[in-house]
Amino acid sequence: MYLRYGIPRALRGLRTNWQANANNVLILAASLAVLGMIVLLYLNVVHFSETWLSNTTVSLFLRQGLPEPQRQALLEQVRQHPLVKDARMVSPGDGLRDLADKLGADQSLLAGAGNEGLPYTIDFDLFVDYRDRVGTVAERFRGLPGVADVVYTEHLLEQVRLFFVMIKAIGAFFIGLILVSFYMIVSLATKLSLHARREEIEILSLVGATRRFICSAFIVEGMLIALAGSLLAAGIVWLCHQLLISGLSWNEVTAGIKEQAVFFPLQALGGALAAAAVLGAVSSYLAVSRMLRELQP
Amino acid sequence: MATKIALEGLTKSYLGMLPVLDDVSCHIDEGEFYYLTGVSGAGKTTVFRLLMLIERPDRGTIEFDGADITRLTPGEQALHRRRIGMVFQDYRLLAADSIEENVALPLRVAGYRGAKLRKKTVEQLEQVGLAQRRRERVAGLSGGEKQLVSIARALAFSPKVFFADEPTGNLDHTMAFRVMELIRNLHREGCTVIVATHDLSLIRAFRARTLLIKDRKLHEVRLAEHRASG
Repeated sequence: MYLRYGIPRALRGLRTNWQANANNVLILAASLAVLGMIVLLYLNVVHFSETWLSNTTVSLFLRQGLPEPQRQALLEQVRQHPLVKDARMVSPGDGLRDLADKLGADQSLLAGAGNEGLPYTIDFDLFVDYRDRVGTVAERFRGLPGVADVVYTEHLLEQVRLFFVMIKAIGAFFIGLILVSFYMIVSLATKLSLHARREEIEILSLVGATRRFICSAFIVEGMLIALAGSLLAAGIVWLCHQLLISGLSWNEVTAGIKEQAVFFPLQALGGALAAAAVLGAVSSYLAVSRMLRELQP
Repeated sequence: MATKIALEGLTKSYLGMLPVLDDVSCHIDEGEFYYLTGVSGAGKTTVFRLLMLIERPDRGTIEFDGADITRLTPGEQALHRRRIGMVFQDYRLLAADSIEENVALPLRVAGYRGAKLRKKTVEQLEQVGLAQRRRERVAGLSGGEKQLVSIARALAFSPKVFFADEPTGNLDHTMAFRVMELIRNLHREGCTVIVATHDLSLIRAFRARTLLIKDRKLHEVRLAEHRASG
């Protein structure tokens, strides 16, 4: 019974008070878009940190003049380690070519450099779940005969990991803060727009409408406004994301970031829209209930 | 005749100032027609606000059919208001809605739907002569027409209790006569009616028992007494 009254009444209310409702939609969209962009940034930082930290490569520099059979034996030993995902031998020529690729436009710096004196290296990666043990594994291989040096960015790795943990914590704090602000904005916007509808609520009360009857239309209105605001916010965030992504092609480093950049998965977006609709409904219900309590004799 | 409405020791003041009503007691019999009169600001509207549970008395009780309505829960208050037809001094209509939607509102609240709702609404509008204009918005109506819509809404349930606060205040003579005839027809059908007015010519034209609010007290008076007391 309540929805059969509530839905047409809500649609009529939206039409009649379209200016106030449009304001509310814009306020919601703006605050949600800010929240969405911060969450998206946080998401990408987390994703990037996970990807970066999981790609840790250790390089074993082999002794100069080590015979080929011993080089292959060492490679096999590394491959057989249970935490090693994959390992490969990099010849001096391959190493020079890799360096030239990384330098890109600046590879002219290598002009005239030969591969004499460059050692063979064994590069290996650990499985993602064991990346925090890269130091232990690397030091173990350092002691093997035929290995001249082991290179991995252990200190930088640790500091970057700590940096990402700090960023995640700060990000989570700010997201929590913005969620609270968002709820307050929604509540205030709902309260203000309902204040303009006070007379309507009063008249409904005077003709004998129950609280549930009165709330039904406003709950539907609140839900629709919140949905409209969150859809608009999603569009804004998506647009900003696309603009940022398209602007990230200006060099190799940013192109790498571009490849790893993520957007919200569809299920998460759907969940966020549903949560916004629920929040809109709850805010409206609370605001109308508060007003009805004020109208109580 | 049974007592329909009983006010006992009713006192009401606003913002802690001098009371508008002070220890007022009165019994309204079932099926009676009363005028409630007094100068502007005497407290006529306050009486209706108390009877409709828009306000709560500072002291005293209000009984309808023997039950104290000042102790009703919010849900019971809604049911109480549904059994009263009330015409407000300021109409209390939804300006953005049509005539039909305003009159249908109490019916919708009570659960009427579809063809039954439409039929009942049109019947009410025909009583006040606005059936042909039912789709017009209330915002565009004159004061008199709004009053008719307000009356049609109040009559929706053929109430047993009917209150009207200055129902002819904004009306010309012809319209005022039409409105009073509607109210008198309702009374003839057994409804208990209280009409608040300060218009002595109305009371003279349509005689009935009269309650006077003066000096924060309520007295039943005859018209001659009322004229003398100014």
